[in-house]
Amino acid sequence: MLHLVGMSAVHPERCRAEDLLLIGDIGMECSANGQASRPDLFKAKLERPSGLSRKLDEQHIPDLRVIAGAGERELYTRDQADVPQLLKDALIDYHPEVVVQPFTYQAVASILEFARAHNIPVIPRGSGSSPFGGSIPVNGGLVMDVSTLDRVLEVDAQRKLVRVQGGCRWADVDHALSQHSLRLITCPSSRFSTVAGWICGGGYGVGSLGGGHLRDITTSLKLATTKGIVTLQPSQEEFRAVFGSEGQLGVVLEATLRVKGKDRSSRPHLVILKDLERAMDLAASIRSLDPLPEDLIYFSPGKLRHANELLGSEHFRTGHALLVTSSDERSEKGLCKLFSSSGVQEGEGYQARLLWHERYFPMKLRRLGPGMLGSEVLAPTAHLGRILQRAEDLCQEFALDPLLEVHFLQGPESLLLCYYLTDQTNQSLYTLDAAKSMIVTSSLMELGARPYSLGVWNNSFSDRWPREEMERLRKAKEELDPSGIMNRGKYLALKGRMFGGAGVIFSPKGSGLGFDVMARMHAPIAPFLRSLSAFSRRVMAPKAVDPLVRVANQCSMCGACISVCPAYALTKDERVTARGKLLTAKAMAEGGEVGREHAHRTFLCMRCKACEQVCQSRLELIPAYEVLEDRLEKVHGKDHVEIERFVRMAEASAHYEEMVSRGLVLGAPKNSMGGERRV
Amino acid sequence: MPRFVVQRAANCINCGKCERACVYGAHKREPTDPREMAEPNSNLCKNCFRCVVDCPQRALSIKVNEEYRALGKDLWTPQRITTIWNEAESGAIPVLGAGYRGDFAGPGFDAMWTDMSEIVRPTRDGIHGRESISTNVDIGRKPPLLSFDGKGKLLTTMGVMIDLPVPFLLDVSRLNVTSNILRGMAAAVRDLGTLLVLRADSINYLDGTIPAGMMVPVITNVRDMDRISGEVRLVEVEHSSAWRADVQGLRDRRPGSLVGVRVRSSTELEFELDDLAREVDVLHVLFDENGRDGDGTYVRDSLRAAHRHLVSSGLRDQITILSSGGLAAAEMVPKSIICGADAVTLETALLVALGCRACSTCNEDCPSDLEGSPGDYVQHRVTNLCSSWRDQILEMLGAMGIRDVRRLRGETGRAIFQEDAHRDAFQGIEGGERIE
Repeated sequence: MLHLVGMSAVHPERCRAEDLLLIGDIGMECSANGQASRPDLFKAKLERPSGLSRKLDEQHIPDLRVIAGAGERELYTRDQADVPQLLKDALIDYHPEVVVQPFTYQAVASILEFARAHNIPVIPRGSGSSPFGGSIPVNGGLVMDVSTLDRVLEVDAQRKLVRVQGGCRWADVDHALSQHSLRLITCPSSRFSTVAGWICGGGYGVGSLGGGHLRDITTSLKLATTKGIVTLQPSQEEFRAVFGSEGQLGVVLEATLRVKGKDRSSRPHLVILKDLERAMDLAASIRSLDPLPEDLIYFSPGKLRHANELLGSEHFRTGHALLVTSSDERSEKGLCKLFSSSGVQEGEGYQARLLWHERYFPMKLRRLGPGMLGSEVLAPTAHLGRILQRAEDLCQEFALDPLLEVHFLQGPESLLLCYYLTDQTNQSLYTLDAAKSMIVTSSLMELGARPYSLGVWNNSFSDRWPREEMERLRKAKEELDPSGIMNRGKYLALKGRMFGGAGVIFSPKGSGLGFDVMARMHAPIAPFLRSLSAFSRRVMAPKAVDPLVRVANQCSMCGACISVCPAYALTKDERVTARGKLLTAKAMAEGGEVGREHAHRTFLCMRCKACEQVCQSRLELIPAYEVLEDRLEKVHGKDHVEIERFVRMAEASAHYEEMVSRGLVLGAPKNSMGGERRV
Repeated sequence: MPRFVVQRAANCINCGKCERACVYGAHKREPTDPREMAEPNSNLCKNCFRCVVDCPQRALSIKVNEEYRALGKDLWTPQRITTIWNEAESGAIPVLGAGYRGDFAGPGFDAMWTDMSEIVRPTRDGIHGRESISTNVDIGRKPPLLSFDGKGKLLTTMGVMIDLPVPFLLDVSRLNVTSNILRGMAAAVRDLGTLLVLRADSINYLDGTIPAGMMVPVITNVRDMDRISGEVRLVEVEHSSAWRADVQGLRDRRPGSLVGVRVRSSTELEFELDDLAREVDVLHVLFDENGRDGDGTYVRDSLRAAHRHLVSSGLRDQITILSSGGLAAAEMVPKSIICGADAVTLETALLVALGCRACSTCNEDCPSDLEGSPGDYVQHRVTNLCSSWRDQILEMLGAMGIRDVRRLRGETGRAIFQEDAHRDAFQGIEGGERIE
């Protein structure tokens, strides 16, 4: 987006000397890593590289930031989900040995070359906003953070095409398009996830009913593989295989997407019906309209109830809701005609707009738990009524309060989300609830559903993955990654700890079978699980909750703050962002070691409050930072010189200047940044 | 007190653009934590609006300080009060930047502009010639002519003459002041070499801060004179129907002192002017705080009328005219002299120099707490104010090309009066009559 790729590289040796001067601390030695060749990045004190990072450092690959510090690497051991620690520790080795951030395609290619030569697994990562674990290492290795390749390369208003780099975030793509009165046909609910991430992950999202799968609007892909950089066209089998491949084929460097013009006549409509059956019937009629509306979502009564709670007012009455958004004038007319002919009473326009606005903030709910778990499956549209009922009933049996959502798609399947609140501060309760979610998922599989994404945690259900797709992926893998270093150990052949034993546990034959059995036996198991949960809630709940940790647990880990953070833009170190700081706070509270370099990095902040403004959980972050900084200062002191140097560097930086004049949070009103929240 | 209040709203993103925008340094980062902006220092704001324009968040606003706007009353405008404060603080000539946006003319002295023809080129003495300009004035009768004998010896007997280095006296006779303030004022008078006008019963509070020769006691009863030191060079008595007897009484008791009569300006004054000029050495004309007399006439017009009257009677040099009241800015001193005064006395301006807001509602809720002012504070502030005013008189004299303030007396040709200018411009033009 903002970086000029291919900045003139400074000679690493010379930079090393400069860095040493700037650090002024004998104990810290600068690594001649990527910072050396990125003059627009702030040079903060660094940890000494060792092992693989040292080896990589010695390569002196230009335009590459090598992350050697343990604290920063820690951020790459997880994604958006909070997986029960017990499970994680037992099954996989999620600690990357090194993390790299490439700034050019050449750097990506060099890394792949290096990894292939040394047989190191490469795990590509976008913004880490998926909950399925696709970007988490299972056997260590090298995580490649491609969110640094974040430019919108070209908007072709004539042909309605946009060419973007893989690490570009959807909000930025949309912003660039809006300058040309264009908009995205479909995008994920996380606006701050990356293009590459969604290509490798799900591909269904907002606007999928009218626009189809992401695959259908992508016209070309540029992929970095171990065999070099290849360009793929929709006609190729490999092109299809990339979607949902979770980085097992290569690194998505570029994508060209079809886009559409802005349409003023498009608007959302809300219909709330008494019973589920009528809602499903109406949905079916809406799906048979021509042209199709842009988007159609079903919300269960539970979802509406929680929406009321989150929006702080009784906006929606109880019932089964359909939220449908027209795509243009014709579709708007068709919808209105359908509503009047079927005698459907439409809700207020503002209610529809409120819910439609909330489509980008599904993770807000996490604040209430704090914590949220659930399952996300592709279910046959024909049996939706039955599947929804089953999910609802099963959750009730487990003493859960489920929120159900269906995103209708083209074709025979729809995306079903069944989630519920939990308390992630209570580890045993949380682990139990996580197991329940697997049982629920398994039970839905029984009714013909299949997982939306496999990642790590859904691996037990990989036998439900369409055979044809699996085969395509396997073939493409042989073609593009014969050495098998790309995201090694994921669902094509999941391996974890215990000499790969984890793979068995997470296989359809292992835990898959177990969950399957439990799903079938839900009647006797449910009371047992219920009483176990009640016991956990009562006995295992943490005695006193640190307010800082509470904020950290309320964080939805969506990563929106990263995309707006000027300090991140200047350091490319996630520890300076809200998500990073809250994770630091959590690590500290759990007794983890936070090093001096890590602590001082936490102070690099511009206090711009953009993170607060963009936070969907509406967390009061600045006060939390102050508490955290106080704690860190007590242990490691405060590097005033570095802070001052950082602020002055930011002020003089053209990149920062551009961010500020453009507005840190794209499209947000500038005159209401956070101030209103603290009143 | 800041004239403008700079406010930073909560949507500030601490980007620091205001710091770079403000050449006056009103915006700075917090010294203890450079990541945050400190509260703007409104005292440094010159209302240039650069920060407001540069702020990407539109988080900054500047408004006129309401407290500033509430300063003073009538003639004592907020700007005049803060100007006096600054003069008393620094002793320097005030520079009012950002252009003059007020009316072109106003009431009283504001309808009068002094000649600045010499300002376009250096004065005859060059730009550094201010030191050869005299601000000295004489108090006392001036003989119409001097006679000498054949040997060049002066035959005329000279009366008492007081030579002051500045054309103003300090006058606390109409002010309510504490003994500390009184002593501070007296010390300032000593520094300046001028005179202190005070009520006779206040003399005791001075504790000998200044010699009696620098005091101008105002007595209410001629017999009070017996208690007053013989060194006093000028004594004043209030005007009454029996003023002749009072003056005679004083002359009998103190043949070596000048005698002055304090008189409230009014239209009736003209009838007695000739008599006063013949009998009295000093005529002290009193106006109210706003520079007007009981009939609403401005100092400017009253003094001009009196001066012209005395000139036409041939008595002008027989008497020294002091003017009091309505002096709210340095420029009003030479303007008073142009209108016919020999010198003026400073009153309310002295209190303003100490922090008074001239709101004219003196009670216990005084926001300035003048009563606590220590003597040396008073001394320094007043000395600063007077020094600044003298410097401004010098500048004005320089700009007029005049090298002695005594030559300015009654020199109305050195000023433009608004009504004259208006008449000259519009006379004879149909519809040119000004509609009030």
